[in-house]
Amino acid sequence: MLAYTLKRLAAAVPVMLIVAIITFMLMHIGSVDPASRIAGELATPEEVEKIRIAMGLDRPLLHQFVSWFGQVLSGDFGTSILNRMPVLDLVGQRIEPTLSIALFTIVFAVALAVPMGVLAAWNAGTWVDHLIMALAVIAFSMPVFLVGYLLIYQFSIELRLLPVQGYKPLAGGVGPYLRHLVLPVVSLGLVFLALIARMTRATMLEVLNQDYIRTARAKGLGNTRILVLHALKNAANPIVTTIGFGIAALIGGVVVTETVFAIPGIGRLTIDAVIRRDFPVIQGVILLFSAAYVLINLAIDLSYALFDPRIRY
Amino acid sequence: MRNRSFTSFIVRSVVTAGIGLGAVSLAQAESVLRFVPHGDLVVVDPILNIDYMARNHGYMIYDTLFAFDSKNEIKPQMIDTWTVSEDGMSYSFKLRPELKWHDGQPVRAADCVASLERWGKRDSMGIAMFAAMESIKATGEDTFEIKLAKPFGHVLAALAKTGSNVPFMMPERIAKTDPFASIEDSTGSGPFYLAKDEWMPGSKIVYKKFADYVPRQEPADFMAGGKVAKVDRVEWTVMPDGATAVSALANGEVDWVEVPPADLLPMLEGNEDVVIRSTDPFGIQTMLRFNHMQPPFNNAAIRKAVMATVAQQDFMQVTSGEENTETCVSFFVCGTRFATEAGAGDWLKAKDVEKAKALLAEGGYNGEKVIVLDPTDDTVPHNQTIVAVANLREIGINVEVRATDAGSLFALAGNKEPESWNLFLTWADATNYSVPTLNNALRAGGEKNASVGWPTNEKIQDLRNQFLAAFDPEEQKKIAAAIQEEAYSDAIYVLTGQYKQSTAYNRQVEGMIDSPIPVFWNISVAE
Repeated sequence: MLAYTLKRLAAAVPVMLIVAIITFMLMHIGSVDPASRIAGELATPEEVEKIRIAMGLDRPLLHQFVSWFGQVLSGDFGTSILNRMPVLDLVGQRIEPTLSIALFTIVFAVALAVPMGVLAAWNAGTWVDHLIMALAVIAFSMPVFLVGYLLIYQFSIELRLLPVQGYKPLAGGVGPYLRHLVLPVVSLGLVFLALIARMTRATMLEVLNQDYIRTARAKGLGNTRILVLHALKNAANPIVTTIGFGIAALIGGVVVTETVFAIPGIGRLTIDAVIRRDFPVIQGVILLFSAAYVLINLAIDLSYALFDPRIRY
Repeated sequence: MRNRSFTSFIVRSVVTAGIGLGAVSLAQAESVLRFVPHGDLVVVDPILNIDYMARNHGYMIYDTLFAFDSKNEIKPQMIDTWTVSEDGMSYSFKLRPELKWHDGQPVRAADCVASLERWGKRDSMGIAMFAAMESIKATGEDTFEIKLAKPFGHVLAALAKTGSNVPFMMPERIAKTDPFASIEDSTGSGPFYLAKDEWMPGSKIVYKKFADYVPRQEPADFMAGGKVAKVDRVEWTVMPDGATAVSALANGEVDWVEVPPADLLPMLEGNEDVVIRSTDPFGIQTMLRFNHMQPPFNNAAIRKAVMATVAQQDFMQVTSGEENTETCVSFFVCGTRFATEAGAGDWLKAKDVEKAKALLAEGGYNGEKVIVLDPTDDTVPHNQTIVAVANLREIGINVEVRATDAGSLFALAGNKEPESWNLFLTWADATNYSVPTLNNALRAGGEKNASVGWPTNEKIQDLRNQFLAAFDPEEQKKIAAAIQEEAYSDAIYVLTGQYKQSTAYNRQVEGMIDSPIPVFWNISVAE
């Protein structure tokens, strides 16, 4: 397994390099750069050029790329060309809210979706199945921002139970931390929940029709034992794959959630940087996202061996 | 029933525990004003950057030598006494005693001279003033003088100006920064200082009361008078979603939302804890601007054809409904000292399609494509773009709409190449457009000396120079009227109306100063 892991990590290096090159080129293609935005409407081309020089944007692209990538290799992701803060500091300020939302969303979604999917499969064709699948369709179809607004209206404006917006760090107390996470996690988690519930139901249905399940029933095993130990474990790999894809999709969903709930996370940092053409921040964040994707995929692949003894690395 | 009660108990316990923890931290907190600004502070340098957020940040942490009061009179701010020679060519200034920078160092005349020199390389009024200047120098620790080489009737007005770029004073070591590079040290001498360790770009900007600030003794009046910080801490929380900001205000999580979206105001109207009103005594002008360098709008008759399609009430209807809007034919903002109806005639009162078509024919329009830039994330210009495009199509103009974002609009409009753009709608507040020489859209020096659109009109440029040199207020008004007549005659740009932006705040917020710029001195938050 160690050899396989190292091989996969080595394969990630060219992937990251390609991501870095594509990101860098995309950012520099547009006709608007930060210098012209800062210069204002009265600026002459000469003045815009002076600002561009002061920002280091006048150097040849290749030179800029090599210089930036060299810094990245030494662990320095550069400095924002607008607010002059190191990219890693900006990411550091915002990693906790995003990780908190992502983590709790996964826990919330998996904790509810897997039992729902199993229950639906076990009661396939009954009203329980129909109800769960109808709820899943509704949850999957509603945009995250709409769910967010509805939750804010009900729980913040009407009931005044939870805050509308913002984030409180864990260091400031568990209570405020959790209160600020409830609505973002639920609004983001519903889509994720629906996706996993549907996938769990489908794979469980397939497994429950296998001969060995019939044998287990014939042997007189209890329903819980059959479902959890025999069926769910064998249905786990597709579910884990879906969860993995979902985590990747979460990063996109986090952008919307962070905007609706005014949470200072990585998603908003990325969007703000793109709007303002803050190249070092965009490049740094996307590179970190890519690394996260690679590691998540690797973790999912390695986890297959836990559920299926036939898989060996 | 039993289950419901138990669930309710659990929910309430968790929530109460949370509230309890929150309450403990609030009880220990300083007095805080929580504000939601209209945008984010991207660049902390208000001299490099003309963005309103940079200017508003500037008023938090910097001070100015002079300032306008609510009667549009110029009052001293950091200045204690000053003299002007009889011929108006020589000015000497003495600073107020005990002024300090946030690092505890005294404010010196040399700091002010360096600050003005940097501002004089970036601001249009500053550039004009320095072009008329023979010298500027410190004559003592707290005195400095300005000598003019040619008449310039706006020295004090330039030093008091509230539109970007405001001549904010900085320590000499910071003011020596290249005017085309951003400063990195935010030391000022204003009533608040930037808590840089708490600044989270894109999310939160925190200011703290500067204990050593010495306010003037006069009461606060617009940008003048005593800037007394009555709260210990001001938090600007950036909320890109207006609906969230309005909900947060309704829920008491923030104290003041600078620009609540007009369509969401009904959410707040029934809330007794919230005040909704315009704090802007003047208003915001909206306008349609042409690219004078490219066909078809390099032709005055075709520009006038577009002007003939504009009935301001149509544009105001999609701006802020009927409330807080007005029709205004003055290029210098209705309700301000240079406002005039000169040259307006019947323009902008009603849409005249026949007249527009006749002007198009006179101008020889032959179906050239007109590219309209549409800042889709800026509600007012976006809504007005929809009206304008319908009007243009109605008279037979071939229109292509290109969507963009507000932040990129002026950068895209800086492109002079053919087929880059022909027209866009935008807005400006009175701080920038109420004075002929500050109204950038009326600079008509062509490619080399004009704002984007690059109109060329020698008569307007001559009149602007006369205005700069004029000392007499009545003479200044006459010149302003003449500029406006020529601007209508040449259809430099088209005014689409004027409106007042509502702001919304908690009733506990007291002492708010009426101004288009959100300022935080004199404000307290009742317990």
